Amino acid sequence: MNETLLLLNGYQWAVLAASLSVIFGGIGSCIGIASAAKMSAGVLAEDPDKFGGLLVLCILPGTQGIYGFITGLLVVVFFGLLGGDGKSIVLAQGVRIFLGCMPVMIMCLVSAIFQGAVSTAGVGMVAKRGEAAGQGMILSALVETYAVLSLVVSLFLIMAAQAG
Amino acid sequence: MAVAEVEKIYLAAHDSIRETLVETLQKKGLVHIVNLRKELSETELEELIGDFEPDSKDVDFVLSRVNFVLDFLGEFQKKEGGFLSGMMGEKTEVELSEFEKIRAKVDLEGIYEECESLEGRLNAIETELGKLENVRKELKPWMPLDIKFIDIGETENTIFAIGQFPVLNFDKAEHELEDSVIESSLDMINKDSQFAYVLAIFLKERSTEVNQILSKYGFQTTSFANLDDAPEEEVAEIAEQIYNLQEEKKAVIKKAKDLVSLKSDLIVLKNYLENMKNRAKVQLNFAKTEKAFMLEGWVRKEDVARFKKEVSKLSTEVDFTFADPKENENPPVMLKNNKWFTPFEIVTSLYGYPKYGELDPTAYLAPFFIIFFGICIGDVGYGLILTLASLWLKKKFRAKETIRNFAVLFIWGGLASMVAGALTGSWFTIETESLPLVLRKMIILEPLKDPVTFLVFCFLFGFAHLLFGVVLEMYDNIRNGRWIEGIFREGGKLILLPGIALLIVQMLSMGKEVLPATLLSVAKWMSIVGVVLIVWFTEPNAKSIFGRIGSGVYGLYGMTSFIGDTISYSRLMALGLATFLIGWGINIIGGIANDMIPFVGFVIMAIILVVGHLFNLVINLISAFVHPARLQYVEFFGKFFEGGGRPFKPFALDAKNLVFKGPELLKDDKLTSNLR
Repeated sequence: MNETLLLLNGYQWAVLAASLSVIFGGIGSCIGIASAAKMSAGVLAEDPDKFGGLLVLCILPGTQGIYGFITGLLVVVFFGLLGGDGKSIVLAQGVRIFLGCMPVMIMCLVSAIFQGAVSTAGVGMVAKRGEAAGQGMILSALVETYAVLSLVVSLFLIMAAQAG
Repeated sequence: MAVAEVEKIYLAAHDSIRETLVETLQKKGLVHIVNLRKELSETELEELIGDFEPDSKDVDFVLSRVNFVLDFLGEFQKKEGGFLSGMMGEKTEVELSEFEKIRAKVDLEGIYEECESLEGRLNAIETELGKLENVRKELKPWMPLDIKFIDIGETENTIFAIGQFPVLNFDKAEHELEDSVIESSLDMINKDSQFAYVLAIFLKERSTEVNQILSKYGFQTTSFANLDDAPEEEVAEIAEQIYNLQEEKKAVIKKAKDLVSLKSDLIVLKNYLENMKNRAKVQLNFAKTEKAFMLEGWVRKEDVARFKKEVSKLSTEVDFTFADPKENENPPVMLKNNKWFTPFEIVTSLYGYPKYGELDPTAYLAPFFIIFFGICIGDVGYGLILTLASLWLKKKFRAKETIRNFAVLFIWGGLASMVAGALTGSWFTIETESLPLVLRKMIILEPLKDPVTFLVFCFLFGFAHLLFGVVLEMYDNIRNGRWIEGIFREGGKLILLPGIALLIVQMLSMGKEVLPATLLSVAKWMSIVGVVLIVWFTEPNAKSIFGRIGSGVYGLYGMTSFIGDTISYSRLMALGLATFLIGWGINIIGGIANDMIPFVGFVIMAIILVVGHLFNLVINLISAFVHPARLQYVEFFGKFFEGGGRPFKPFALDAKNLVFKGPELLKDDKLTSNLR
């Protein structure tokens, strides 16, 4: 029970996994959204009517933060980190949880930043042609695919770690 | 379900009816006009007047006045409508007959002059107010001075001067003056942190000396050129003037506000003038000689008779010919669907229009789009909210076609979400264990308990979607006379893909026998037959047998994309779970609030639940539109759809802020939709 790897025991590995999932997904989304929103602010200064389309473009890189949140929440609930159950996580299981969260941690961080870049380009498109908002959204969603795939795999890995 | 057939039209007529004809064309909105002048300029017809340009300066002038008035009145208008209306840009309905009479109805000259004078007066008042405020500020430190300004200056023997010192220098200046010039006095009227405000009185004959001392310590003379009375009285007077001006300003603003009611008419007028401008602009496409003009355009086949009737009503001096589109031409495309599928055209048009003569994918993507949307939201409660909200939007914004279509899309999506939610046991993302038994009985699959089955379901839907794409390619090929490719190549794909899929399933089950042996041998033979068909028929018109087989093998290699395409549908599962899990998290947080916070916990929980679930719905709504749309564009369209058509845009009445109604308009929703 008190076995440790790199000074952390199983319970702490699980907490670290949940925290880092939320943190990295959130960082990625913040960078992505900030990039698109800054440019949108410039467009809105000239053309306030385009708010609707631009808002959607800006929100798009926000999903990664949510995927990170879901992953973190799943770890918290599945392994009883809220109550006392979490204390009984053995080292092997804790490390499995951590490794299972890795796809989400890394892919959400990276893909949100790049999705933000595409969204920003989409904002430029909308500035020129208001009707291009939909196309910008689709282009931006192309990047998100890989965050979605990482979420699928992380979900399975976490469930597998819970099953034993 | 198809692309509307069009015919090319050439029309030539006498110049005298040019304006009326253009007006009729605009009102009826039947013709997509193309640039004939550019086409003819290469032929160098001598009679052509190349740089003919209809005069629109008058319209521009009037339009600029209307814009001025609208801008001016806009400042005095109360903000109406909420955030939503502002975002959607509401339109007003107007009778077409009224629209045409608007120019006579509005006394633009009068309104313009009144607005101009009001604006001028307002500006003058503002300037005056600014000036007075400045004087008042300057007078403020002088308030204790009880001498009239008129008395300041020179008398026969003495000089009265007011001015300011840096406050630190005052004492020194006072001493020095006292020591050297006895017949003088320096009184401090007031002081603040920076300056001492002083009144200096001295004999005229000593003025040079005094001035020297004063300027040595940084004395600056102050003068109030236009003021006579003592500061206190002057300030009182200024206050009165300011009050009067402000009263006048209020009166002017009230007058302007009374004019605001004219704004709706002015907006109609603005749209009317813009349409007049469009009429002039469209003529830039016409070819023109001294006495006649000619235009070229496209008309839908079904409108040809109506077009003939409308134009021959105008004059007998019109000549037109119709022709079917030629091979090398690229006619504009109008989608033609029945009213159930029309809203889904926004999904198609977001990607681009089909080429003329190509299959219109709208009707085929609609059912899958709705199913995928339903899986992504996948909750009865959310679906219900979405459906109700969309019904309301549809009613409120019935005049705006885009919003109405989106609303219809979301109504269907909401219904599909409710079905998906009931089947997966998601009711406002409440934990399945706490649901009543009746609801639990409806569940066929619990995504969280059995995510693999859910994933397989998504793959199955995706695989069916892809196969359907191949079927459509087959149909398109056969329709266009490419029988061999259609039947054998696409047929080969339809045999190969299910066979391979079964083999892959067997492979993934790692030795366990999930499929009966007979089925497996059928699958094996299907794969072999499919491979042979694809290799041999990918390029049936190849010049050599090697070329044929080479491109066949390449076509076979292309089949591998189906694996990645199918996996791409796993996003449906991830998005469906995401909705549920975020909602679940919100429920947990709400529950904690209820347990931990005494007395008001219940209220806080209610707030968390309402705000949280709305947030979740909006976020997932965006994903639930974008990702299913992507699945159509990238995975589905890739199998059969080319695109690249340009939309059919008839020359018609075009109004940003208005929707027309009236008996003169055509009943055809598709055409009048261009007015929206």
